[in-house]
Amino acid sequence: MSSSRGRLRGLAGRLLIELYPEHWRARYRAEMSALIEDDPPGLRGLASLLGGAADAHLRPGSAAVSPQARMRLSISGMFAAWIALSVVGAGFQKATEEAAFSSAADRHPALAVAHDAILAGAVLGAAAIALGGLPLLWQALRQARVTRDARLAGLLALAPLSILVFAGLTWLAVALAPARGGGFPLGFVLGALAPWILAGLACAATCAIAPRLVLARVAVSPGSLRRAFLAGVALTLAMTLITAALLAYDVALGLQSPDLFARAGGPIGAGTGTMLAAGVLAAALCTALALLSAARARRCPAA
Amino acid sequence: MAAKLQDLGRWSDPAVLVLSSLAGGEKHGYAMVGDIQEMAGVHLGPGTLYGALSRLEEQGLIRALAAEGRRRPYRITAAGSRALGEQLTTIAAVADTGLRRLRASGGVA
Repeated sequence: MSSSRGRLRGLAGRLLIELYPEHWRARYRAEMSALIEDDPPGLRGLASLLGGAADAHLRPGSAAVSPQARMRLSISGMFAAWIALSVVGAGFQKATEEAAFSSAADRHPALAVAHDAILAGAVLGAAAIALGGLPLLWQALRQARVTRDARLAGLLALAPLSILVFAGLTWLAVALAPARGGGFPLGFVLGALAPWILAGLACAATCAIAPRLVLARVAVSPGSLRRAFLAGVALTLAMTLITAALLAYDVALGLQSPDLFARAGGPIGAGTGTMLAAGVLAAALCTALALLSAARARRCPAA
Repeated sequence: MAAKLQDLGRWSDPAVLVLSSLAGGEKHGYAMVGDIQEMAGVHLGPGTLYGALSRLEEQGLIRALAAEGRRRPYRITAAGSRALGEQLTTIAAVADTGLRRLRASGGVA
C-alpha cells in the first residue's frame, strides 16, 4: 500500500470514528485513533468501523449513557430517520411526476389510495416535526445567541449549508446534462451524475447527523424532551404508513399499469418499478431505524 | 462462565481471540491485532476489535490499564481467564470429537 493511500485510509478511519456515539468517543477515540495510525485500515477495516459505529448506537446496554442522554439519542435517531426518508420521498416524487402516473391513478383507485396515503404520511410527519422539532430548534438558536457558542452556531448552520451546496450541485448537474433519450451517456453518469448522487447522500447524512450533534449540546427541559419524543413517535407512525403505502403503490403499479412499471425512468436506465422497489427497501430501513430508536426511548424514565 | 462469552453472540469469536491474546500478557490494540494475526491468521478490524473490547470490559473479563500516551493496554481478569478456559475446553472437545469422527469415516488421515 502506498503511503498516500495509507494516509487516506487513516483519514477515512478517523472520520468514521466520529460516527460513534459521544460516550464511546470519549472513552475509546484516542486509542482507536492510535491503532488506525499504527495500522491504517483497508476496506474491510473501514467496513468494521462503520458496522461498529452502527452497533454502538443500537446496543442498548451501555451503562455510560444516562437516561436523558439516551432519550436525546433516541429522539435524534427518529428525526434522522425521517430526514433520510424524506430523500426517499423526493425520489418517489421525481419518479412519478409525469402526467402518465396521474392518469394511471385516475384509472386505478388502488394507485390513488396508495399515493394519498403517502401524502397523508408526509403531512403527519411535517406536523410532528413542526410541533416537536421546531421548539428544540428555537431553544438551540436562543442558546447559541445567548451563550455565544460558536460551535453550536456552526452545527446549526451545517444542515442548511449542506442543502445549499447540494442545491448548487443540482443546478450544475442539470446545466451540464445532455439531452436524454432513454438514458444518460456513461461519461455523464460517471463524471456528474454519480458525484451528484454521492453529494446527495452526503447532504442527507449531514442533515441526519447535525440535529443529533445539536441536541447533544442544547439544554432542553424535560417537557420539551417529552414533546419531542411524542413527535418522534408520530414520525415513526408516519414512516410506517409511508413505507406500507410505497410498497402498495409499487405492487399496484406492477399489477395495474405494467407499461409504466417497466418503463426506463431511472438515472441509469432502470425501470420505474425497480427504482420504486429500491425506495421501498430504503424506506423500510429508515422505518426500522426509527422503530429501534423509539424502543430505546421507551426504556427511559422520562418517556 | 463460558455462557458469558456465548452471550456475546456474533462478538464471541473476536472475544475469544482477544482473550487468547491477552492470556499471553497485557497488550494494547495494535499489539493485539498483530498477535491475533500471528496466532489465528485473522486480521481484526478496528471496529470489530473495539466492539469486542468494550463488551469484555463491561462483563469484567478484561480490565483497562493506565494509558501509555494514546495507547491503553488491557489485561485479562481472573473471570476472563476462567471464561476463556471453559470456552477453549468446549472448543477442544468439539474439535476432538469432530476429528475422531472424520478419521473413522476416512475423511482425514
